[in-house]
Amino acid sequence: MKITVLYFGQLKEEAGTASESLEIDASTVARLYDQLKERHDLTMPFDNLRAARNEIFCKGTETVRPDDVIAFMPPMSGG
Amino acid sequence: MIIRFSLSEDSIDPLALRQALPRLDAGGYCSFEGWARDNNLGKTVTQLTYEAYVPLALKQGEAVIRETLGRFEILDASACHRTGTLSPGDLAVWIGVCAPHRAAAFEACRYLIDRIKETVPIWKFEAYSDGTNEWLDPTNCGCAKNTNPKG
Repeated sequence: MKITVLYFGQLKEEAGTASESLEIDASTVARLYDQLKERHDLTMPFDNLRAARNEIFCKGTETVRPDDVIAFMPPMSGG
Repeated sequence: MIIRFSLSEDSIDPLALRQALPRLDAGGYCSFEGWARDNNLGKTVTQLTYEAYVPLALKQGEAVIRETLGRFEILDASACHRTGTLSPGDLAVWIGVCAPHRAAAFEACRYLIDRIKETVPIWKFEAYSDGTNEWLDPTNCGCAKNTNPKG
């Protein structure tokens, strides 16, 4: 299935892109991140991040569906 | 729907934001301004950039204001956060709260800025005078929840 992944902050820097379209097999959000972590040599473990599925915060156990937009976000540092 | 949380690519005008808050049943107003500081962890900051995941930041900002309105005896609250490039001294975030009595206004104002910093998807990138730069990670520098009264 086709999905879109968004990266922010330090993760964007490490992935070398703000977004990418991917063809993936069925997965959860955390498993997807672990695959991307390996592919892009990302330094942050999933437990340190927040994730969102279609602009709603989600847990790592959430199932990724076709056409989803999955965002991976390092700890927020606004303010 | 009333919009209480906003992001701004341009300078924040605190007076314009404040003018939307006063109510005749409010006895007090409390505001917090977060400013772009010219130093961080011993380095001289020359420029800051705030990046946001805009659609989620707007939703989450509204959610934390709703949460604050439900948690304290306040009448209204509003907040605006900068995105884009800032220079030291620029206003980075503005928060205003009005309440029947001052204690709740102070408490809610503090609560709201803490919740925005912790949960609204915005990230700060700092450039330093020594030519280095970095994305800040509040979980690394011990400043995620600053309880130091000098902080």
